[in-house]
Amino acid sequence: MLSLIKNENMKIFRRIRTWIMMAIMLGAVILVAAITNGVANHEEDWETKVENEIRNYEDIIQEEQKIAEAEPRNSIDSTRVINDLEGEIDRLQRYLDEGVNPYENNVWTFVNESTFLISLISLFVVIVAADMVASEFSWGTIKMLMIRPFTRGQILLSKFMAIIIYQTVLLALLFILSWIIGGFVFGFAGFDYKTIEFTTNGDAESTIESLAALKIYGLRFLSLMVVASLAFMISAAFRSNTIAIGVGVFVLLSGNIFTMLLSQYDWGKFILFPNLNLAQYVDGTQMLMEGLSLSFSLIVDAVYFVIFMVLAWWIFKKRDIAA
Amino acid sequence: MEPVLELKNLTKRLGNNNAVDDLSFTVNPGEVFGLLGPNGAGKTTTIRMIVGLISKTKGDVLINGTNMYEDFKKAMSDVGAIVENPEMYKFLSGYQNLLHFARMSQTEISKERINEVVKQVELEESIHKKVKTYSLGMRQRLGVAQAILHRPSLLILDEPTNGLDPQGIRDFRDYLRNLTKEGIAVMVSSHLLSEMQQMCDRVAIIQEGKLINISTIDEFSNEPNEGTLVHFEVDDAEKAQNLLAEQGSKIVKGQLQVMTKKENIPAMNETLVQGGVKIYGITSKNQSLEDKFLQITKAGEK
Repeated sequence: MLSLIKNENMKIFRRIRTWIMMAIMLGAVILVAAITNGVANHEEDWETKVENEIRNYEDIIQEEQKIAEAEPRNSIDSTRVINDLEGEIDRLQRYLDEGVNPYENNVWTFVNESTFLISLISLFVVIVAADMVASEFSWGTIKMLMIRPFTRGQILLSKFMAIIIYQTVLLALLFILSWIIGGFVFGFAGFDYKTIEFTTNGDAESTIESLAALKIYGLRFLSLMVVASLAFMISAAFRSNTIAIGVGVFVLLSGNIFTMLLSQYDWGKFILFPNLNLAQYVDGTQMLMEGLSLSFSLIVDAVYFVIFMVLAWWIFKKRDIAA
Repeated sequence: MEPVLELKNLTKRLGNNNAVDDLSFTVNPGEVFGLLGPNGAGKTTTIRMIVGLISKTKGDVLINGTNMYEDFKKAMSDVGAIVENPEMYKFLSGYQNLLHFARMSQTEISKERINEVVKQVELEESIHKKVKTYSLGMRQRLGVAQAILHRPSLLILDEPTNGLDPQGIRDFRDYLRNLTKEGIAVMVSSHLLSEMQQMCDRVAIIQEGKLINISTIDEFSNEPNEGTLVHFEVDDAEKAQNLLAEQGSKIVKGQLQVMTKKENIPAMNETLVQGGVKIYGITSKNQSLEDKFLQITKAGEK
């Protein structure tokens, strides 16, 4: 079994495509670092900046109040703006109270910031996973592969293991790259660097940034595995790697659109895509669908994962390898 | 002697037809066995079933006595094969391809063994180049290398001479001979009789999935047992037929036709002359396996 995984690794890492993907990741991390550095606050003292911002918001609130008094018909809009800004002022006040710089840039804020590049990794993992079985059919090498003293299940499992290894390598690479580049551009900081994070219901929490990043990586690892199993199943069903990759990438990209379309239905939360974004439960981003929780999503993902893997195995096992 | 390969009533149904129909034969150690038939006769389907690429409808495949459908791993650990073209990973070097397949062997294959095989197929110079730079002949040889790497007792080669020039075919034949000296059984398929005559000890002819004939290559060249087809050009064919009724004569296009052995022709001639039939000519034609095969091939091409 180990030798089969070695073979699959060789077939992944001896391809130029794989190295282009890694080069793109390096380029993306450098780009994100450059942009972040460009918009970063370099001169001003952060406390003055936060105070200025609060004053600025207060001015706007006063203006809105005047408008609301003059034109009561639009008062609903004004009230909403005022509410938002008051929330923002509360948030900034918390930073001042805790003595935490909200504009701080260091290695850990950058590592956290660049976790959005994991979407790039899902794209790469989908491409590799969708190609994994279908390409053997395209190349005709499947005939050479299947006449060996191994069962089809073993061949399939070794291929999936190689995908998991590949996604681990990409995640590790992103982490290391963003740590090194972030460290050199914004300065290194200890593992215990803390900041304040706000949850969706407005509560503030003191969080350790390095731990937050690790949580995001861990959860994204799990959702990547589910995405990979979906692409892998597609791969086992198609003879052409081009079609398999096309279908895989389409499914990945259209996931959010499906989620939005189906969010109005009760059963919408049982479909895969809204449950794939596990990081939404820790990074405080806006949720696309209500009524989801981390444990619920993990269970739904696990069920889909098992279904995809069993289907892939079933399709592959009963398939006649002709022409 | 236990056969290396045994097919028992192997059948594959595709749609409404039997692509392979109740095929049974054995291949023995040390022989080159040919599977001969026109394109579409079911050669490749048979080979795909033997190596487990496609499922069977009925029947069994035994490799060294192990039923392929019961213990696939054990059966396949003794088999090396090229099915259709030797497709390799083009982005890997020849050596990496061999390493890939060596890792898939049940027995440990050393670096020395890989180098030995590379030398055998004369690919030393280009083995570290990427396979996409290889010529068809080189790919063919790399294909053979991966098939013999683990010293299988059964080597299955599907249309192995495709794309080889006459010199290449001759070299290949000599190479197969050397292998069989070591006791390996080789099964090759082809639609070309001439190639089979050069390479094989025994040949099975199949047509539309059915076994038509199995014979040794010597029987191909010699006069067949069932005899010769003899034409008598006579004035009164009906009378002649009556005289030779016992020999199973037939009237074909106004002429008398008898299937008989050559040594019987003078006696038949005598009977006809004594019976008062005028004979204008006697022609005989060997209905050899070659003729049979050519007929089959022609029918297959239509």
